[in-house]
Parts: sequence; structure tokens; C-alpha cells
Amino acid sequence: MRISTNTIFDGGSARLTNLQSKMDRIAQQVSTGRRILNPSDDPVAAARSLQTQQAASINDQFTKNRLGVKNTLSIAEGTMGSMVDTLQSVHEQIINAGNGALSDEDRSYIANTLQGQLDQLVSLANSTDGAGNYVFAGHQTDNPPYKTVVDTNGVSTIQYNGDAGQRLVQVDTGRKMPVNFAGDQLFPKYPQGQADGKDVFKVLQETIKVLQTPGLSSAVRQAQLTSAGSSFDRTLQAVSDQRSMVGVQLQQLDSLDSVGSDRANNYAQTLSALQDLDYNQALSDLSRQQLALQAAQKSFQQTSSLSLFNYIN
Amino acid sequence: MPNIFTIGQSALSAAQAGINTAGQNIANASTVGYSRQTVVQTAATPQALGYGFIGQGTQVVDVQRNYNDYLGTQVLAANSASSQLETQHTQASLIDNMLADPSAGLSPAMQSLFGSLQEMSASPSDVATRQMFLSNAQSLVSRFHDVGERLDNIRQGLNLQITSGVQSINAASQQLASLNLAIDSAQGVAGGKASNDLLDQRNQVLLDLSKQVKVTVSEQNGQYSVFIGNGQPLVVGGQAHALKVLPSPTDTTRLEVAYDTSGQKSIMSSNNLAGGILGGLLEFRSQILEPTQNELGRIALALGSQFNSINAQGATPSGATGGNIFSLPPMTVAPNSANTGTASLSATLANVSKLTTSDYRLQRVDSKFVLSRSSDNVILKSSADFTEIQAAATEQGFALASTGLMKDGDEFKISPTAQVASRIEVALSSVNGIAAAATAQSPGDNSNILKMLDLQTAKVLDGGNQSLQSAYAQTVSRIGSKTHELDVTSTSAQQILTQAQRAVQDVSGVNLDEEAANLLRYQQAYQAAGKVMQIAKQMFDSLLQMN
Repeated sequence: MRISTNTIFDGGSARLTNLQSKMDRIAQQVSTGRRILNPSDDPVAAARSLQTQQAASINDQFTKNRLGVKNTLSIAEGTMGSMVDTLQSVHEQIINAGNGALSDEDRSYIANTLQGQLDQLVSLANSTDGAGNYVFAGHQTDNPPYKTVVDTNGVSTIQYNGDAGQRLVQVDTGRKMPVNFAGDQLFPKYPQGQADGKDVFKVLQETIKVLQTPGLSSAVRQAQLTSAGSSFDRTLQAVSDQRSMVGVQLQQLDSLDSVGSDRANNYAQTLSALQDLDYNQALSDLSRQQLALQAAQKSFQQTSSLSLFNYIN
Repeated sequence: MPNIFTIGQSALSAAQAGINTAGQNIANASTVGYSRQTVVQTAATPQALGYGFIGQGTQVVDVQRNYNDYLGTQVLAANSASSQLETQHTQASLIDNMLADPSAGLSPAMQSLFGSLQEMSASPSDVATRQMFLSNAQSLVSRFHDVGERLDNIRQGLNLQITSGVQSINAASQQLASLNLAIDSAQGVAGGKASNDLLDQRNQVLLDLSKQVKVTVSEQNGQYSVFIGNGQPLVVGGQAHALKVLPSPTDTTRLEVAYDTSGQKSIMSSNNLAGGILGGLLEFRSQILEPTQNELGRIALALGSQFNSINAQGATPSGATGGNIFSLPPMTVAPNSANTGTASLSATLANVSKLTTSDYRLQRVDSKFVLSRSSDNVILKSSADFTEIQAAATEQGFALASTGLMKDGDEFKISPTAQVASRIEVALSSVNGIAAAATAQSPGDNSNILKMLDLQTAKVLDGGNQSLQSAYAQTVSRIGSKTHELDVTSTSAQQILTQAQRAVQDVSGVNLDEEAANLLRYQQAYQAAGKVMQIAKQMFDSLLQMN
């Protein structure tokens, strides 16, 4: 079969170009560490790695969210702990105030102590999180939820200005946690749902007033102290309940953290399997291609140097 | 009486012709399109003498061109197929490369946007987190613009390439027509003998033409007639027919190829203009580029419209109802420039989940409105009642409104998603425009943010089958698969072309060793003929010396 000289040269150079471009590809893979240089290299893996990256990024975001939620909940838990302490000490003062041996003056001292504790309780209820948001205000996070309002008769009352709103933050796929509380649920009014219901602040104010008023009959005083005692019991229960709920949530956050970090590892492994280069394989491919290229160069050089003209003088 | 001098001289000139031809072959060994030539030599008519016939030397009857028409036709076809696929592969690789860098695509920008929403959900009234959301929205929009503009640039590049492709085709047709004439007249001068080198030139021009567009060739009396598409003649004898480049009547940014029949310009569709670079460019544009622009546009449209509608369900810090977060361009509706009616048409988004990535066409034919989908050429509705057309459009996710009258032959092109990626903008000017709360005066309320967050994974597209992210991943994988497929098919088409070219070369290509052997052969023939002359002279000399 006849073959043209052009075919020998064209074929030779095409084969060399082809081998060089294969080597270049492997060199690019080695230098980037990526198995997939373009989506066309493995379209399915390219699409899957996009999906996995999104899942991993959402997972990372949940980890960040949990950190913020933990921070806020820890502040809330600590504050509720202080509330419990204050409420208990108020309760003790109230039992103490029922002692029949006390004088009006003794009772006014107790009233002063109680006033201090009331102020402390209000201040705790007006706590903010790290970002300056009021924790016990429902959705009204911009303003202190409990304010003392003095009416035209000079009577001061402590009003709740928050609402019942609850802010949820996503801490995992399909799992949201509240990061704020409604003050009127923490300090509910008794009897519940009635127009004349009183919260712990109101009861405490009334109690202080009773203790400050000299010459009251002990029956009137005792009635006030008894009803105050039962109000404190219930409030203490409500705050403790909330506090233990927050404790449970903090525990859940810890276990979600470990699930999240397992998941992050899985995603990283999946991504690595989808995208990363097997260096051993790549380097052995590279040296194999190198050998093939050298052989092709040698054979091209030998074939092309054969010419009858070498022998015509 | 046979003359030894005549015989010797005929041998000398035959050997010279042989050496010349070998020289010509060597000189053109690397000339593109050259076919090797061989001298055809026969013995001259002998003279009858009483005792028999005495030869009268030799004669060169032809210088033949070694060329096989059948193999040549195969190269033409393989050339068109290969250059079409190679063009598509080159263009598709532009998009493939653009999507290659995972950190530069749309994905990370979308993830950042939702990331800042998560931060905002933790403290919805914090100005810093709101600012972060706003700037992430801005950078997502920039990503959309960037990708959109790069696709637009590819599209503009196509227009240039189509224009220069048509110029090459027209130039080649002109050359073919002139060569047809030149071959005809050369043949006349040479008494019917073909002019080998002109034939080679003509085949080479034809080969160049077949690289630009798929052609069919028929030969009559040595003249080539060349046809494209459905048999539109490009060259007939000495006549060349020029193709034209025109802006599409429904889209001035889209150049089309038109065939000019006595002033009546008809646009040739990409199915009609298959093969070659031109066919590759047109097919790439309609099958890969425009669907990709529409897919990205649909993601932008879905994202923008969903964010806007959720924002409108909530209240801003000042208590107002949330306005638009993103501003979306109006849907592109273009009348055909040849419309004669007064109708003007507009389209608005009706239902994101029903929206496709296709363009649409509304025509008026025989007093009926015809709505068709361009991606698969399905007629969705044909009716004289425009409300039925509107219902059919709503099923495709967009609402149509029309004023004025459409006349028969009028046409509108509706592109619901085409421009969105390049033209989506952030509408919010202030961080206070974000409606985080469900109701007014609730600075700590994030319930509307939580709804926006659901968008990250919500399946809002394709009738509830695709999320924004999966739609984007699907685009990436579609481009990847298509590019990969084109890589494989164009490589195999290239191999087929190489095979066909090699087969032609085996017949027509010059082999320098062979020519070296021919040189030696004719050199020796020349020397031997010279010897004949020398002996003839010696014979005469001895005759003259006799007295």
C-alpha cells in the first residue's frame, strides 16, 4: 500500500500532540489536586458535589446558629437561676414577716428588703442577650419588658410591655429552638385568665405596702402574706420549669453539635471522594504517558529520517 | 523510413516530461490539496514495413492527476460533520470552563445569602446582620450579572462568527464560480485536457467551504454545482449565490442566516443549515446557549419573586408592609418587525413552579391565535378566543395581556426568563426594608425570615420537583454532560475525517521516496535516450567517412 510522505509527518505530529495534551491534563490535575477540572469531566459528580457543598454549608451554618442559641440560652438559664434564688429569698422574707412577734418597725425593714428584691427581680426580667436584645420581652426585644408606671394618684405599678411572641432559630434540619421568652409566661398572673389576675410583681408590691402600713390587724396582714406565699410558690414553679426546659435544650444542642460534626465529616469525605485526585494513580499515569511520549518521539524521528534522497548523490 | 533520431528524441522528451512531473510532485509535496501527477506514456504508432512493424518512438499522451472522486466526497462530508461538532465543543467548553470553578459559581453566593438570613433570624433587628444580608444580596446579583454577561458575550461572539462564516461562504462560492469558468476555458485551450492544478484548487476551495457549512455537490460537464440546506443553490456553473446575515425579526440581537431569492430573503433555520462551523454555531446557540441563559434566568426569577412575595407578607421595623427585595426586569415580549396589526402584547409572571426554560411564540394564522413552545415546537393552543390562549399561557407559568389587534401573519416572541440573570437588581435601598416580622411593632419577631430561609431547600421549580440549588446543579450537569458528549463525538468525527483524509492522501499524496525513484528512472531513461542519439550520430559519421 502506498502512503504519502505527508501522512507520515501529519500522523506523527498528531500522535505527539495527542500524547502531550493527555500529559498536560494529568499535570493540571496534579497541580490543582482536583480530579474534576471541568463539569464535563464527570457531570454527575459535578452536580452531586454542588449539592453536597450546599448541604455542608447549611450544616456549617447550623453549627454557627447553635453557638448563638447556646449563648443566648445560657444567659437565660443563668438569669432564671438568679430569679429562682431571688424568689426563694423573697419567700423566706415573707414567711419571716408572718412572725407575730415582729413590730411594725421590724416589718418595715422587711418591706425595704423586699423592695430591693423586687427591684432585682425587675432588673433580672429586663435582662438582655449579648446583642442587647431583651430576653424576656417576647418580640418586643427593643424595650425593657417591665416598666414602673406611676399613675395620677401616685400609685406605681409594674407593667409588662412585651408580648407573647417567640423567636425561633433553626438549629438543625427541621429543628428550631426558641431564643427568647415571654415575661408574662414566666411570671403568670393568678388566677389565670381573669381580669383581676395578679403577677408576682403586683403581689410583691401589695405585700410591701401591707408591711409598710403600721397598725394593720394581723388577720389582714396574714391573709395578704398567705396569698403572696402561694403566688410565689407558683411563680417559682413556673420559672423552675422554664429553667429546666432551657437546660434540656442546652443538652440537646450539645448532642446536635456532635451529630452536626459527624455530618460535616461525612460531607467532607463525600466531597473529597467526588472531587479529589488520587495522586498515586495520577503520578503513575503521568509516568506512563511520559514513556509513551518518549517512544512516540523516538519512532517518529526514526521513521521520518528514512529517505531515498539520503542515498542519491 | 523510421528515423533513429526521431525515436531518440521522443525518448528524450518523454524522459524530460517524467523528470518535470517528478519535480512538480516534489515541489508540491506539502501543498495543501495537491494531487500527485503521473505521466502517461504510450508507444507511437509503428510504421509498417515489408517485414513487419518498426516502432516510431514514444509519446506522452497525458499528465494524469491521481484523484478519487468517491474518496473526495467522503472527506467533504466528514469535514462538515467534524467541524460542526468541533465548533459546538469549543463553544460549549466556554460555558463548561465558566462553571468549572466551584468557588466562583452561583452556589457560594446563594449559600452566603441564606447564611446571612440565618444570622438575621437570630437577631432580626440588628442593623449589622441586616446590612450583611443586603450586601450578600448585592453580591449574589453581581454573580448573576457576571454569569449572564459572560453568556451574553458568548452570544455576541456568535454573531461575529456567523457574520464572518457567511463572508467565508460567500467568498468560497465566488471562487468556486470563477474556478468553474477558468477550468472550462483551460479545458478548451488544451483540447479537452483537464487542468490538474485548477481542479486541485477547486477541490480545496470546496473543502474549505464544507468546513463552513454542509454542502452537496453535483458535477455536470466538468462544472460543479453546489447546494446547501434543502437544496438551495450556492454555485451553479459560473454563477454564485450570496447568503445574507440579518437580525432576527423578533430579536435584533440575534443574527440569522438568510437565503436571498430574487430579493425575497428567507431565514434559514438551524435544522436547515446543518453541518460545518455555521451549523455548529447555530445549533450551539439554540440547543445549548439559549437554554442555559433561560435556566439561569429562571433561577434568578424564582429567587427574586419568592423573596419579594415573602417580604410582602411581613412587616418592616417601621411597621410598613415589606416591599420588593429584588427588582426583576419585565418579561421580554418582542413583536415581529413585519407585524401589520396594532396589537401589543405583555407577559408577567403567574406561577414560578410552572415556568419552563423555553421561549414561546404567539402567531395569528387563519384568524386564529396560535401559542407554541419553541423548545419542542409544540402547539399549546390554537384558538380564535384569546382567553383560551391566556389560559394556556398561565399553564406555562406566565400571564398574557394584549391590546390592539393582531392580523394574520403577525407574530410575537415571548421570552419569560431570557434576560433575568443579566438584569435582576437589588431593589432594597435600606436595611430597614427587610420585613423580618410577621406583624408590625415586633422587633424580635423573625418568623418571616424563617419563611425566607425555607427557600434554600424548598422545591419551588418544575412543579415542585426542583429547588433553586438543584436547578443550578442540573444546569451545571447538563452543560457538563453536553460538553463531554461533544468531546467524545467531535473526537470520533475528527478520527473519521483523518481516516478519510488519509485514504485520499494514499491515492493523491506525494511520496518523496517514490518521486526519488521516479527521478532515477527518468534520469536513466534520459541517459539511455542520449546514448541512442550518440549511436545514431556515430552511424552517420561512419557512413560519411566511407569515401
